[in-house]
Amino acid sequence: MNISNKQVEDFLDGNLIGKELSFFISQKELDKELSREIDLRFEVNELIKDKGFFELREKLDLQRNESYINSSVIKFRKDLFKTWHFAAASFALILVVGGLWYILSNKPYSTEKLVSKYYKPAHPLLQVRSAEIKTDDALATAFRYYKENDFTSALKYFNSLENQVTAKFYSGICFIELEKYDQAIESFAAIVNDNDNLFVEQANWYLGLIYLMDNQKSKAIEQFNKISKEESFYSAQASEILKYLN
Amino acid sequence: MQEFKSEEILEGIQNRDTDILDYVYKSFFNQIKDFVTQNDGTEDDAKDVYQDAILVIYQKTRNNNLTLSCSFNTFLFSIGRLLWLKQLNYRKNFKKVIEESAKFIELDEEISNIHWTNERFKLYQDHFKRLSYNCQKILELFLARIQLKEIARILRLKSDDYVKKRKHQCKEKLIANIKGDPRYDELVKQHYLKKD
Repeated sequence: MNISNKQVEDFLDGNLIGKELSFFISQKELDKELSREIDLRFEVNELIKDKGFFELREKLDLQRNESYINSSVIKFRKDLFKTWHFAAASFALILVVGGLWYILSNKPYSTEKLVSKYYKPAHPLLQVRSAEIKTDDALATAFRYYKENDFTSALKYFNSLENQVTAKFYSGICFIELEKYDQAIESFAAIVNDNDNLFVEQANWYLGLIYLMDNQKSKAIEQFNKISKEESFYSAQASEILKYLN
Repeated sequence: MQEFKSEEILEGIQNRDTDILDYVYKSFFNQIKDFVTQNDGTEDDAKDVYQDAILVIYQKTRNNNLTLSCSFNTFLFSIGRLLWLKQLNYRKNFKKVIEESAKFIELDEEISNIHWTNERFKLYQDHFKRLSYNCQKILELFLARIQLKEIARILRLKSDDYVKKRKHQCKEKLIANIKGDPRYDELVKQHYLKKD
């Protein structure tokens, strides 16, 4: 393929004109590989523009998850009546129902449930760029451990790069995974205070979730209130959480 | 449970209406489940097939005004049936006798084509969602033809040149991740097998 990716993007964005455009079109006719590259990039653009497809998939996934919960309950009920353990199961059921009643009467929607619904550790970066090779190595190693869920080892490397925002952010996630909430709060608060980086919104979101995990309900409400009022990727989810918390 | 007409259901799917989606699932999923489970599939397979069938209907109603010549139930089941038979074929799991469990209509190749496009879209979407928030937003705003200056303002980035640079980086990262996914080769093969 004699055409660069940038030229393909320029073509799709409508930035090629005159001779450049004619040349590009002639190449497109001749070069199958180029034609496929254009198809791929065009389709990806179409997908990004199609919010409906995103939304529908999310709703169908949600429906599927709900059906799992419902079918587990039905299956449990069937098993219960089938086996000779009926009496023991009844007793267990009374305990479970009693426990649930106790939980639900105290908390309309438990913080644990909220956390498990909304918390997902950030996806590791696949490519890292930094000024020094040594730094690159440390980050790459940290991400390797992070992907393997070895958060203690990952932390050692992230902490060695504490001046880097990326490292700071991921060290916060490691602290969450290790249930060291105070330190996680420190990491994310530093990112939020810095305010000139790409992780600010995510850090704010995780701060809210940490407060939930750590049973600091009033701080969580304050944090999600703040997020819900901002033009943030997480504002809709923050509003949803607030409905449960209030 | 409230009943809906076929036209209302199609419109509801097009608008991603939660009530309609719940109604369709509760009313019609079991037919697909019966067919899939009677033909070497599991309940999970049936759920995949059901989701894919709804996505096909969504794309089909989006592409043109769909008028059904049968009930919605039969149409949905026929798509689910076709997708499952293709899946069995793909898995080299040829069944001599297919257990038919409900009324169906024969569908044209367009349904298959929409399904394969959806499979590619799902792959792209999976990788798009893994991009950072800013990358996602830059690409979305750029493709919505928002001016670079405005994107810089919305995302609090330093300049329009920087937005341009980031847009390029984000798109290249997305494309590289898509191409690096093992599903990509298979989907491309399926796509160009038909085209070439």
